[in-house]
Amino acid sequence: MSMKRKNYQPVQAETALMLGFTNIGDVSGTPTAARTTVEAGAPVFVLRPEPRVPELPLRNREIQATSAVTTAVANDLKPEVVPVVLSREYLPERYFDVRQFWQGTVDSVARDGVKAVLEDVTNPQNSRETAIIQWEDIPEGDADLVAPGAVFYWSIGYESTITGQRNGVSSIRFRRLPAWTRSELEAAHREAQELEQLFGDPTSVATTGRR
Amino acid sequence: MATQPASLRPAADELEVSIFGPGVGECIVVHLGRGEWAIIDSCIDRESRRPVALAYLERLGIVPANAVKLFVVTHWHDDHTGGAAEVFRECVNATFFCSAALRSREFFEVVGIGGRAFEPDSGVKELKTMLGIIKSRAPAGVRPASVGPAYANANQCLWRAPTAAPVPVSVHALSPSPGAIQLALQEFARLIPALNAPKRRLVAQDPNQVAVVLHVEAGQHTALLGSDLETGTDVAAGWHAIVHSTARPQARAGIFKVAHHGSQNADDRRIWSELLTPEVVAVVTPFRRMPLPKPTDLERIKSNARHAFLTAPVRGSAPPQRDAFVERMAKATARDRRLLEKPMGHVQLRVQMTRAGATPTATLFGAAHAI
Repeated sequence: MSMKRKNYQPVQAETALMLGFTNIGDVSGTPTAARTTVEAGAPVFVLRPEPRVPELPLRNREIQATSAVTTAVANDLKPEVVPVVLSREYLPERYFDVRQFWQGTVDSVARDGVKAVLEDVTNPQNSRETAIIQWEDIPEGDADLVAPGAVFYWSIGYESTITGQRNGVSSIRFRRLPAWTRSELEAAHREAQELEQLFGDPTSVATTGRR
Repeated sequence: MATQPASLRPAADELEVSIFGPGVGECIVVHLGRGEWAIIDSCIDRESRRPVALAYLERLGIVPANAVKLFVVTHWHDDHTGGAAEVFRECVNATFFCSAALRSREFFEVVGIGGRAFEPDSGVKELKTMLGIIKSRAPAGVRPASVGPAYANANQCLWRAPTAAPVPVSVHALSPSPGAIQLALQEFARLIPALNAPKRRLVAQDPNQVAVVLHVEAGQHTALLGSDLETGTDVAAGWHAIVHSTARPQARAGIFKVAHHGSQNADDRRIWSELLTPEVVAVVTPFRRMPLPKPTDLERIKSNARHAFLTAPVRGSAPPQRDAFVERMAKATARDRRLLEKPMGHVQLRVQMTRAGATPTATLFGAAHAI
Protein backbone atom coordinates (compact mmCIF):
# COMPACT_ATOMS: atom_id res chain seq x y z
CA MET A 1 0.00 0.00 0.00
CA SER A 2 1.38 3.33 -0.89
CA MET A 3 1.59 6.17 1.58
CA LYS A 4 -1.25 8.57 1.14
CA ARG A 5 -0.72 12.16 1.88
CA LYS A 6 -4.07 12.50 3.66
CA ASN A 7 -2.83 10.12 6.35
CA TYR A 8 -0.18 12.55 7.46
CA GLN A 9 -0.63 15.40 9.85
CA PRO A 10 1.61 18.24 8.78
CA VAL A 11 3.34 19.84 11.72
CA GLN A 12 5.92 22.51 12.07
CA ALA A 13 9.52 21.69 12.81
CA GLU A 14 9.09 23.06 16.33
CA THR A 15 6.56 20.34 17.04
CA ALA A 16 8.93 17.74 15.66
CA LEU A 17 11.56 19.10 18.00
CA MET A 18 9.15 18.68 20.88
CA LEU A 19 8.72 15.09 19.85
CA GLY A 20 12.42 14.66 20.12
CA PHE A 21 12.90 14.14 16.41
CA THR A 22 15.44 16.86 16.09
CA ASN A 23 16.53 15.84 12.66
CA ILE A 24 13.83 13.90 10.91
CA GLY A 25 13.42 14.53 7.26
CA ASP A 26 10.53 14.99 4.96
CA VAL A 27 8.35 11.90 5.00
CA SER A 28 5.65 13.23 2.77
CA GLY A 29 6.19 10.38 0.40
CA THR A 30 7.50 12.62 -2.28
CA PRO A 31 10.79 11.14 -3.51
CA THR A 32 12.84 14.21 -2.94
CA ALA A 33 16.18 14.49 -1.24
CA ALA A 34 15.98 14.09 2.52
CA ARG A 35 16.89 17.00 4.73
CA THR A 36 19.80 16.45 7.01
CA THR A 37 18.21 18.47 9.79
CA VAL A 38 14.86 20.07 10.31
CA GLU A 39 15.10 23.81 10.07
CA ALA A 40 12.90 25.98 12.23
CA GLY A 41 9.63 26.45 10.44
CA ALA A 42 10.29 23.72 7.90
CA PRO A 43 7.45 21.27 7.43
CA VAL A 44 7.77 17.67 8.51
CA PHE A 45 5.09 15.05 8.58
CA VAL A 46 4.02 12.99 11.52
CA LEU A 47 1.66 10.16 10.94
CA ARG A 48 -1.56 10.19 12.90
CA PRO A 49 -3.48 6.99 13.39
CA GLU A 50 -6.69 8.40 11.98
CA PRO A 51 -8.55 6.68 10.50
CA ARG A 52 -5.98 3.97 11.06
CA VAL A 53 -2.32 3.44 10.60
CA PRO A 54 -1.75 2.28 7.05
CA GLU A 55 0.83 -0.24 6.14
CA LEU A 56 3.82 1.63 4.95
CA PRO A 57 6.58 0.57 2.62
CA LEU A 58 9.34 -0.15 5.09
CA ARG A 59 12.61 -0.59 3.42
CA ASN A 60 15.60 -0.78 5.64
CA ARG A 61 14.89 1.25 8.70
CA GLU A 62 12.02 2.33 10.88
CA ILE A 63 11.82 5.02 13.49
CA GLN A 64 8.88 5.00 15.83
CA ALA A 65 7.90 7.64 18.30
CA THR A 66 7.49 6.19 21.74
CA SER A 67 4.36 6.89 23.70
CA ALA A 68 6.50 8.68 26.27
CA VAL A 69 7.79 11.06 23.70
CA THR A 70 4.44 11.69 22.16
CA THR A 71 2.95 12.84 25.45
CA ALA A 72 5.17 15.89 25.03
CA VAL A 73 2.75 17.24 22.52
CA ALA A 74 -0.45 16.60 24.41
CA ASN A 75 -1.37 20.20 23.97
CA ASP A 76 -0.83 20.16 20.26
CA LEU A 77 -1.53 16.67 19.04
CA LYS A 78 -3.20 13.70 20.60
CA PRO A 79 -0.84 11.29 22.37
CA GLU A 80 -1.52 8.60 19.84
CA VAL A 81 0.61 10.36 17.25
CA VAL A 82 2.46 7.21 16.31
CA PRO A 83 4.36 6.03 14.48
CA VAL A 84 6.66 8.09 12.38
CA VAL A 85 8.12 5.86 9.75
CA LEU A 86 11.00 6.85 7.60
CA SER A 87 12.29 4.76 4.82
CA ARG A 88 16.02 4.72 4.37
CA GLU A 89 16.05 6.94 1.36
CA TYR A 90 14.62 9.72 3.49
CA LEU A 91 16.88 9.19 6.48
CA PRO A 92 18.92 12.22 7.34
CA GLU A 93 22.67 12.13 7.52
CA ARG A 94 22.43 12.84 11.23
CA TYR A 95 19.82 11.66 13.63
CA PHE A 96 19.12 12.06 17.29
CA ASP A 97 18.56 9.24 19.74
CA VAL A 98 16.65 10.78 22.66
CA ARG A 99 17.44 9.25 26.04
CA GLN A 100 15.73 11.76 28.28
CA PHE A 101 13.16 14.42 27.57
CA TRP A 102 11.70 17.02 29.92
CA GLN A 103 9.14 19.76 29.51
CA GLY A 104 10.07 22.72 31.67
CA THR A 105 8.25 25.80 32.90
CA VAL A 106 10.16 28.84 34.09
CA ASP A 107 9.41 29.79 37.69
CA SER A 108 11.79 32.69 38.08
CA VAL A 109 14.74 34.26 36.35
CA ALA A 110 17.93 35.27 38.14
CA ARG A 111 21.49 36.23 37.24
CA ASP A 112 22.81 32.82 38.19
CA GLY A 113 20.29 30.86 36.17
CA VAL A 114 16.69 30.10 35.37
CA LYS A 115 14.70 28.34 38.06
CA ALA A 116 12.31 25.90 36.46
CA VAL A 117 9.96 23.01 37.10
CA LEU A 118 10.66 19.94 34.96
CA GLU A 119 8.11 17.32 33.98
CA ASP A 120 9.60 14.03 32.90
CA VAL A 121 8.10 13.20 29.53
CA THR A 122 10.22 10.10 29.07
CA ASN A 123 8.92 8.61 32.33
CA PRO A 124 5.74 10.49 33.17
CA GLN A 125 5.26 8.55 36.40
CA ASN A 126 8.29 10.34 37.84
CA SER A 127 7.64 13.24 40.18
CA ARG A 128 8.26 16.73 38.90
CA GLU A 129 11.65 18.25 39.63
CA THR A 130 12.97 21.70 40.30
CA ALA A 131 16.27 22.74 38.76
CA ILE A 132 18.35 25.77 37.97
CA ILE A 133 19.25 25.88 34.30
CA GLN A 134 22.49 27.64 33.56
CA TRP A 135 22.29 30.58 31.23
CA GLU A 136 25.08 29.27 29.01
CA ASP A 137 22.90 26.29 28.12
CA ILE A 138 20.05 28.45 26.88
CA PRO A 139 20.37 29.25 23.17
CA GLU A 140 21.08 32.91 22.57
CA GLY A 141 18.23 33.04 20.10
CA ASP A 142 15.79 31.98 22.83
CA ALA A 143 16.93 34.51 25.43
CA ASP A 144 14.05 36.87 24.70
CA LEU A 145 11.60 34.06 25.46
CA VAL A 146 12.89 33.42 28.98
CA ALA A 147 10.33 34.75 31.46
CA PRO A 148 8.20 33.33 34.27
CA GLY A 149 5.62 31.02 32.74
CA ALA A 150 7.67 30.35 29.60
CA VAL A 151 7.83 26.75 28.43
CA PHE A 152 10.89 24.91 27.14
CA TYR A 153 11.94 21.44 26.09
CA TRP A 154 15.11 19.80 27.29
CA SER A 155 16.36 16.72 25.51
CA ILE A 156 19.43 14.65 26.22
CA GLY A 157 20.63 12.04 23.79
CA TYR A 158 23.12 10.97 21.21
CA GLU A 159 23.47 12.65 17.87
CA SER A 160 24.70 10.07 15.39
CA THR A 161 25.69 10.27 11.78
CA ILE A 162 25.32 7.59 9.15
CA THR A 163 29.11 7.44 9.07
CA GLY A 164 29.10 6.18 12.66
CA GLN A 165 30.08 9.25 14.66
CA ARG A 166 28.19 9.72 17.93
CA ASN A 167 28.13 12.72 20.26
CA GLY A 168 26.28 13.34 23.51
CA VAL A 169 23.95 16.32 23.27
CA SER A 170 21.95 18.25 25.87
CA SER A 171 19.65 20.65 24.09
CA ILE A 172 17.24 23.24 25.46
CA ARG A 173 14.75 24.90 23.18
CA PHE A 174 12.21 27.44 24.34
CA ARG A 175 8.79 27.14 22.90
CA ARG A 176 7.71 30.11 20.85
CA LEU A 177 4.25 30.48 22.24
CA PRO A 178 1.63 31.87 19.94
CA ALA A 179 0.52 35.43 20.53
CA TRP A 180 -2.90 36.46 21.75
CA THR A 181 -5.09 37.42 18.85
CA ARG A 182 -7.93 39.90 18.90
CA SER A 183 -10.50 37.16 18.29
CA GLU A 184 -9.17 35.06 21.19
CA LEU A 185 -9.25 38.01 23.55
CA GLU A 186 -12.79 38.79 22.44
CA ALA A 187 -13.85 35.17 22.93
CA ALA A 188 -12.32 35.19 26.43
CA HIS A 189 -14.20 38.39 27.19
CA ARG A 190 -17.49 36.94 25.97
CA GLU A 191 -16.95 33.92 28.20
CA ALA A 192 -16.20 36.21 31.14
CA GLN A 193 -19.44 38.10 30.51
CA GLU A 194 -21.38 34.85 30.45
CA LEU A 195 -19.79 33.71 33.72
CA GLU A 196 -20.58 37.04 35.28
CA GLN A 197 -24.20 36.72 34.21
CA LEU A 198 -24.36 33.25 35.77
CA PHE A 199 -22.26 33.68 38.89
CA GLY A 200 -21.51 37.36 39.44
CA ASP A 201 -22.99 39.80 41.86
CA PRO A 202 -26.43 40.56 40.37
CA THR A 203 -26.16 44.16 41.51
CA SER A 204 -23.08 44.75 39.35
CA VAL A 205 -23.51 42.41 36.40
CA ALA A 206 -22.55 44.15 33.19
CA THR A 207 -24.76 43.55 30.25
CA THR A 208 -22.76 45.15 27.48
CA GLY A 209 -19.33 46.36 26.60
CA ARG A 210 -15.93 46.02 28.05
CA ARG A 211 -14.84 48.19 30.91
CA MET B 1 7.33 8.47 62.92
CA ALA B 2 3.64 7.56 63.04
CA THR B 3 2.52 6.43 66.44
CA GLN B 4 -0.97 5.33 65.48
CA PRO B 5 -2.53 4.02 62.33
CA ALA B 6 -3.82 6.74 60.02
CA SER B 7 -7.07 4.83 59.72
CA LEU B 8 -8.20 5.52 63.30
CA ARG B 9 -11.16 7.90 63.29
CA PRO B 10 -11.32 10.78 65.75
CA ALA B 11 -13.88 10.57 68.54
CA ALA B 12 -17.13 12.48 68.05
CA ASP B 13 -15.93 15.25 70.40
CA GLU B 14 -12.40 15.49 69.06
CA LEU B 15 -11.20 18.38 66.95
CA GLU B 16 -8.85 17.13 64.27
CA VAL B 17 -6.76 19.33 62.03
CA SER B 18 -4.87 17.25 59.48
CA ILE B 19 -2.43 19.17 57.32
CA PHE B 20 -1.03 17.59 54.17
CA GLY B 21 1.89 18.99 52.21
CA PRO B 22 3.94 17.20 49.62
CA GLY B 23 6.50 19.93 48.93
CA VAL B 24 4.30 21.94 46.64
CA GLY B 25 0.59 21.97 47.33
CA GLU B 26 -1.37 21.76 50.52
CA CYS B 27 -4.67 20.58 51.89
CA ILE B 28 -6.26 20.65 55.33
CA VAL B 29 -8.92 18.27 56.60
CA VAL B 30 -10.79 19.29 59.75
CA HIS B 31 -13.06 17.18 61.91
CA LEU B 32 -15.76 19.52 63.16
CA GLY B 33 -17.21 16.97 65.58
CA ARG B 34 -19.97 14.35 65.36
CA GLY B 35 -18.53 12.93 62.15
CA GLU B 36 -18.77 16.18 60.21
CA TRP B 37 -15.78 17.40 58.25
CA ALA B 38 -14.40 20.38 56.38
CA ILE B 39 -11.85 20.35 53.58
CA ILE B 40 -9.68 23.41 53.04
CA ASP B 41 -7.91 23.58 49.66
CA SER B 42 -6.77 20.54 47.74
CA CYS B 43 -3.69 18.86 46.41
CA ILE B 44 -3.06 15.61 44.63
CA ASP B 45 -1.24 12.63 46.04
CA ARG B 46 1.26 11.85 43.27
CA GLU B 47 1.19 8.15 44.18
CA SER B 48 -2.55 7.52 44.11
CA ARG B 49 -3.39 10.47 41.80
CA ARG B 50 -6.32 11.20 44.11
CA PRO B 51 -7.01 14.38 46.03
CA VAL B 52 -5.36 13.74 49.39
CA ALA B 53 -8.45 14.78 51.35
CA LEU B 54 -10.69 12.20 49.69
CA ALA B 55 -8.06 9.48 49.97
CA TYR B 56 -7.59 10.24 53.68
CA LEU B 57 -11.29 10.27 54.53
CA GLU B 58 -11.78 7.02 52.66
CA ARG B 59 -8.92 5.47 54.64
CA LEU B 60 -10.83 6.44 57.78
CA GLY B 61 -13.88 4.68 56.37
CA ILE B 62 -15.73 7.94 55.89
CA VAL B 63 -17.91 8.68 52.87
CA PRO B 64 -17.00 12.22 51.79
CA ALA B 65 -20.35 12.74 50.10
CA ASN B 66 -22.11 12.37 53.45
CA ALA B 67 -19.58 13.70 55.91
CA VAL B 68 -18.02 16.77 54.31
CA LYS B 69 -20.11 19.84 55.12
CA LEU B 70 -17.75 22.61 54.13
CA PHE B 71 -15.24 22.95 51.31
CA VAL B 72 -13.18 26.12 51.08
CA VAL B 73 -10.79 27.01 48.28
CA THR B 74 -8.83 29.80 49.92
CA HIS B 75 -7.40 31.20 46.68
CA TRP B 76 -6.93 30.22 43.07
CA HIS B 77 -3.23 29.37 42.95
CA ASP B 78 -2.21 25.98 41.55
CA ASP B 79 -0.70 24.72 44.78
CA HIS B 80 -4.02 25.03 46.63
CA THR B 81 -6.39 23.79 43.95
CA GLY B 82 -5.01 20.48 42.62
CA GLY B 83 -7.99 18.14 42.39
CA ALA B 84 -10.39 20.71 43.85
CA ALA B 85 -13.00 20.01 41.19
CA GLU B 86 -12.91 16.31 42.03
CA VAL B 87 -13.37 17.09 45.73
CA PHE B 88 -16.27 19.36 44.92
CA ARG B 89 -17.87 16.82 42.60
CA GLU B 90 -17.79 14.11 45.28
CA CYS B 91 -18.70 16.22 48.30
CA VAL B 92 -22.24 16.87 47.22
CA ASN B 93 -23.41 17.90 50.68
CA ALA B 94 -20.66 20.47 51.24
CA THR B 95 -21.13 24.19 50.97
CA PHE B 96 -18.40 25.46 48.69
CA PHE B 97 -16.79 28.76 49.61
CA CYS B 98 -14.16 30.74 47.77
CA SER B 99 -12.74 34.21 48.26
CA ALA B 100 -15.19 37.04 47.64
CA ALA B 101 -12.58 38.54 45.31
CA LEU B 102 -13.43 35.79 42.83
CA ARG B 103 -16.96 37.11 42.44
CA SER B 104 -15.71 39.85 40.21
CA ARG B 105 -15.75 40.76 36.58
CA GLU B 106 -11.96 40.89 36.75
CA PHE B 107 -11.67 37.29 37.91
CA PHE B 108 -14.16 36.04 35.34
CA GLU B 109 -11.96 37.72 32.72
CA VAL B 110 -9.01 35.73 34.14
CA VAL B 111 -11.08 32.55 33.83
CA GLY B 112 -11.86 33.40 30.21
CA ILE B 113 -8.17 33.98 29.53
CA GLY B 114 -7.05 30.99 31.60
CA GLY B 115 -8.89 28.52 29.43
CA ARG B 116 -7.03 29.78 26.40
CA ALA B 117 -3.59 30.40 27.88
CA PHE B 118 -0.80 27.91 28.13
CA GLU B 119 -1.32 26.60 31.64
CA PRO B 120 -2.14 22.92 31.84
CA ASP B 121 -2.26 22.70 35.65
CA SER B 122 -3.79 26.02 36.44
CA GLY B 123 -6.02 26.61 39.42
CA VAL B 124 -8.13 28.72 37.11
CA LYS B 125 -9.05 25.59 35.19
CA GLU B 126 -10.08 23.82 38.39
CA LEU B 127 -12.33 26.72 39.38
CA LYS B 128 -13.78 26.88 35.90
CA THR B 129 -14.60 23.18 36.11
CA MET B 130 -16.26 23.76 39.47
CA LEU B 131 -18.39 26.55 38.03
CA GLY B 132 -19.40 24.11 35.29
CA ILE B 133 -20.43 21.54 37.91
CA ILE B 134 -22.52 24.16 39.70
CA LYS B 135 -24.15 25.12 36.43
CA SER B 136 -25.06 21.49 35.77
CA ARG B 137 -26.49 21.15 39.29
CA ALA B 138 -28.70 24.23 39.05
CA PRO B 139 -32.34 23.35 38.37
CA ALA B 140 -33.71 24.50 35.04
CA GLY B 141 -34.59 28.17 35.08
CA VAL B 142 -32.58 28.86 38.24
CA ARG B 143 -29.58 31.14 38.09
CA PRO B 144 -26.52 29.00 38.99
CA ALA B 145 -25.29 31.69 41.40
CA SER B 146 -28.17 30.77 43.68
CA VAL B 147 -26.70 27.25 43.94
CA GLY B 148 -23.12 28.37 44.49
CA PRO B 149 -20.38 29.14 45.04
CA ALA B 150 -20.65 30.97 48.34
CA TYR B 151 -18.21 33.83 48.74
CA ALA B 152 -16.16 34.35 51.89
CA ASN B 153 -15.54 37.79 53.33
CA ALA B 154 -13.64 38.85 56.43
CA ASN B 155 -15.40 38.06 59.71
CA GLN B 156 -18.13 36.00 58.10
CA CYS B 157 -19.36 32.77 59.67
CA LEU B 158 -19.06 30.01 57.06
CA TRP B 159 -20.36 27.13 59.14
CA ARG B 160 -21.78 26.55 62.59
CA ALA B 161 -22.82 23.35 64.38
CA PRO B 162 -26.54 23.16 65.17
CA THR B 163 -27.47 24.69 68.51
CA ALA B 164 -28.44 21.22 69.72
CA ALA B 165 -24.86 19.99 69.25
CA PRO B 166 -23.17 19.12 72.57
CA VAL B 167 -20.15 21.32 71.77
CA PRO B 168 -20.36 24.66 69.96
CA VAL B 169 -18.28 24.62 66.78
CA SER B 170 -17.96 27.37 64.21
CA VAL B 171 -15.82 28.27 61.23
CA HIS B 172 -15.22 31.95 60.42
CA ALA B 173 -13.36 33.60 57.59
CA LEU B 174 -10.99 36.32 58.79
CA SER B 175 -10.20 37.52 55.27
CA PRO B 176 -10.38 38.90 52.61
CA SER B 177 -11.00 42.41 53.83
CA PRO B 178 -12.69 44.93 51.50
CA GLY B 179 -9.30 46.57 50.98
CA ALA B 180 -7.74 43.25 50.01
CA ILE B 181 -10.49 42.60 47.49
CA GLN B 182 -9.70 45.90 45.77
CA LEU B 183 -6.03 44.92 45.55
CA ALA B 184 -6.99 41.52 44.15
CA LEU B 185 -9.06 43.11 41.41
CA GLN B 186 -6.01 45.11 40.38
CA GLU B 187 -3.95 41.93 40.32
CA PHE B 188 -6.50 40.14 38.16
CA ALA B 189 -6.54 43.05 35.75
CA ARG B 190 -2.76 42.80 35.38
CA LEU B 191 -3.13 39.15 34.33
CA ILE B 192 -5.20 40.04 31.27
CA PRO B 193 -2.78 39.89 28.33
CA ALA B 194 -2.42 42.59 25.72
CA LEU B 195 -3.06 41.95 22.06
CA ASN B 196 -0.08 40.10 20.51
CA ALA B 197 1.47 39.30 23.89
CA PRO B 198 2.84 35.72 24.00
CA LYS B 199 0.62 33.09 25.58
CA ARG B 200 2.26 32.09 28.80
CA ARG B 201 1.15 30.17 31.81
CA LEU B 202 -0.65 32.50 34.23
CA VAL B 203 1.73 33.55 36.98
CA ALA B 204 0.25 34.88 40.22
CA GLN B 205 1.49 38.20 41.54
CA ASP B 206 2.92 38.88 44.99
CA PRO B 207 1.99 39.51 47.71
CA ASN B 208 -1.09 37.38 48.26
CA GLN B 209 -3.42 39.58 50.29
CA VAL B 210 -6.68 38.00 49.30
CA ALA B 211 -6.50 34.38 50.53
CA VAL B 212 -9.15 33.21 52.98
CA VAL B 213 -7.81 32.73 56.50
CA LEU B 214 -10.03 30.53 58.65
CA HIS B 215 -10.72 30.52 62.37
CA VAL B 216 -12.11 27.21 63.61
CA GLU B 217 -13.50 27.31 67.13
CA ALA B 218 -14.47 23.97 68.66
CA GLY B 219 -15.37 24.03 72.31
CA GLN B 220 -12.26 24.99 74.28
CA HIS B 221 -9.95 24.84 71.28
CA THR B 222 -9.31 27.00 68.26
CA ALA B 223 -7.32 26.58 65.08
CA LEU B 224 -6.07 29.39 62.86
CA LEU B 225 -5.52 28.28 59.27
CA GLY B 226 -3.38 30.93 57.61
CA SER B 227 -3.62 29.85 53.97
CA ASP B 228 -1.12 31.91 51.91
CA LEU B 229 -2.08 35.30 53.29
CA GLU B 230 0.83 37.72 53.26
CA THR B 231 1.43 41.16 54.62
CA GLY B 232 1.98 43.98 52.19
CA THR B 233 2.23 47.68 52.80
CA ASP B 234 -1.53 48.30 52.82
CA VAL B 235 -2.89 48.31 56.37
CA ALA B 236 -6.38 47.55 55.05
CA ALA B 237 -5.30 44.21 53.58
CA GLY B 238 -3.49 41.01 54.42
CA TRP B 239 -2.61 40.21 58.04
CA HIS B 240 -2.67 43.91 58.92
CA ALA B 241 -6.42 43.95 58.36
CA ILE B 242 -6.95 40.84 60.47
CA VAL B 243 -4.96 41.93 63.49
CA HIS B 244 -6.57 45.38 63.39
CA SER B 245 -10.09 44.01 63.09
CA THR B 246 -12.39 44.43 66.05
CA ALA B 247 -15.08 42.30 64.44
CA ARG B 248 -13.14 39.04 64.24
CA PRO B 249 -13.74 36.14 66.66
CA GLN B 250 -11.59 36.75 69.69
CA ALA B 251 -10.63 33.21 70.77
CA ARG B 252 -6.90 32.67 70.47
CA ALA B 253 -5.75 29.62 68.58
CA GLY B 254 -3.63 26.78 69.93
CA ILE B 255 -3.25 25.27 66.45
CA PHE B 256 -1.78 27.34 63.63
CA LYS B 257 -1.30 26.40 60.00
CA VAL B 258 1.46 28.91 59.35
CA ALA B 259 0.66 31.25 56.47
CA HIS B 260 2.41 31.18 53.12
CA HIS B 261 4.87 28.41 53.87
CA GLY B 262 6.41 30.28 56.76
CA SER B 263 7.74 33.19 54.71
CA GLN B 264 8.82 36.36 56.48
CA ASN B 265 6.37 38.29 54.34
CA ALA B 266 3.46 36.37 55.85
CA ASP B 267 4.51 36.93 59.42
CA ASP B 268 3.63 39.66 61.85
CA ARG B 269 4.54 39.59 65.52
CA ARG B 270 0.94 40.49 66.35
CA ILE B 271 -0.23 37.17 64.89
CA TRP B 272 1.71 35.42 67.63
CA SER B 273 0.84 37.86 70.38
CA GLU B 274 -2.82 38.58 69.60
CA LEU B 275 -4.22 35.65 67.62
CA LEU B 276 -2.38 32.67 69.08
CA THR B 277 -1.80 31.20 72.52
CA PRO B 278 1.73 30.89 73.92
CA GLU B 279 1.33 27.09 73.73
CA VAL B 280 0.51 27.11 70.03
CA VAL B 281 1.34 24.14 67.86
CA ALA B 282 2.45 25.45 64.46
CA VAL B 283 2.52 23.48 61.22
CA VAL B 284 4.30 24.64 58.09
CA THR B 285 3.85 23.30 54.58
CA PRO B 286 6.93 23.78 52.39
CA PHE B 287 6.98 25.33 48.95
CA ARG B 288 9.98 23.98 47.13
CA ARG B 289 9.65 26.19 44.09
CA MET B 290 10.95 29.19 46.07
CA PRO B 291 12.06 27.35 48.29
CA LEU B 292 10.22 28.14 51.55
CA PRO B 293 10.51 28.24 54.48
CA LYS B 294 14.08 29.52 54.69
CA PRO B 295 16.26 28.49 57.64
CA THR B 296 15.67 31.89 59.24
CA ASP B 297 11.90 31.36 58.89
CA LEU B 298 12.17 28.03 60.67
CA GLU B 299 14.13 29.62 63.50
CA ARG B 300 11.55 32.38 63.85
CA ILE B 301 8.61 29.97 63.87
CA LYS B 302 10.34 27.65 66.31
CA SER B 303 11.03 30.53 68.67
CA ASN B 304 7.38 31.60 68.65
CA ALA B 305 5.61 28.23 68.88
CA ARG B 306 5.62 25.66 71.65
CA HIS B 307 5.78 22.88 69.06
CA ALA B 308 6.43 23.26 65.35
CA PHE B 309 6.23 20.77 62.49
CA LEU B 310 6.93 20.63 58.79
CA THR B 311 4.78 18.41 56.62
CA ALA B 312 7.78 17.57 54.42
CA PRO B 313 11.43 18.61 54.08
CA VAL B 314 12.00 21.99 52.47
CA ARG B 315 14.56 20.50 50.18
CA GLY B 316 13.17 17.80 47.94
CA SER B 317 14.76 14.40 47.63
CA ALA B 318 17.28 13.74 44.91
CA PRO B 319 15.61 12.73 41.66
CA PRO B 320 15.73 9.10 40.56
CA GLN B 321 19.06 8.08 39.07
CA ARG B 322 18.86 7.82 35.34
CA ASP B 323 21.54 6.14 33.28
CA ALA B 324 25.06 7.46 33.73
CA PHE B 325 25.14 9.26 30.39
CA VAL B 326 21.88 11.13 31.08
CA GLU B 327 23.03 12.05 34.59
CA ARG B 328 26.37 13.35 33.32
CA MET B 329 24.75 15.46 30.62
CA ALA B 330 22.01 16.73 32.97
CA LYS B 331 24.55 17.85 35.57
CA ALA B 332 26.38 19.86 32.93
CA THR B 333 23.20 21.79 32.08
CA ALA B 334 21.27 22.14 35.34
CA ARG B 335 22.18 22.28 38.99
CA ASP B 336 20.33 21.59 42.19
CA ARG B 337 17.82 19.20 40.66
CA ARG B 338 15.36 18.09 43.33
CA LEU B 339 12.02 16.35 43.47
CA LEU B 340 9.19 18.82 43.76
CA GLU B 341 6.33 16.88 45.30
CA LYS B 342 7.58 13.74 46.94
CA PRO B 343 7.15 12.41 49.46
CA MET B 344 3.79 13.42 50.93
CA GLY B 345 3.81 14.41 54.57
CA HIS B 346 0.88 14.65 56.95
CA VAL B 347 0.65 16.26 60.40
CA GLN B 348 -2.43 15.14 62.28
CA LEU B 349 -3.42 17.17 65.36
CA ARG B 350 -6.20 15.96 67.62
CA VAL B 351 -7.60 17.30 70.85
CA GLN B 352 -10.77 16.72 72.83
CA MET B 353 -12.94 19.78 72.29
CA THR B 354 -14.08 20.06 75.91
CA ARG B 355 -10.65 19.61 77.55
CA ALA B 356 -9.50 23.12 78.35
CA GLY B 357 -5.75 23.61 78.34
CA ALA B 358 -5.00 20.27 76.70
CA THR B 359 -2.20 20.20 74.13
CA PRO B 360 -3.20 18.62 70.84
CA THR B 361 -1.73 15.23 70.14
CA ALA B 362 0.48 15.39 67.07
CA THR B 363 0.92 12.33 64.90
CA LEU B 364 3.29 12.53 61.98
CA PHE B 365 3.02 10.53 58.79
CA GLY B 366 5.22 10.21 55.76
CA ALA B 367 7.86 12.87 55.53
CA ALA B 368 6.43 15.11 58.27
CA HIS B 369 8.83 15.99 61.05
CA ALA B 370 9.35 18.33 63.98
CA ILE B 371 11.23 21.55 63.31
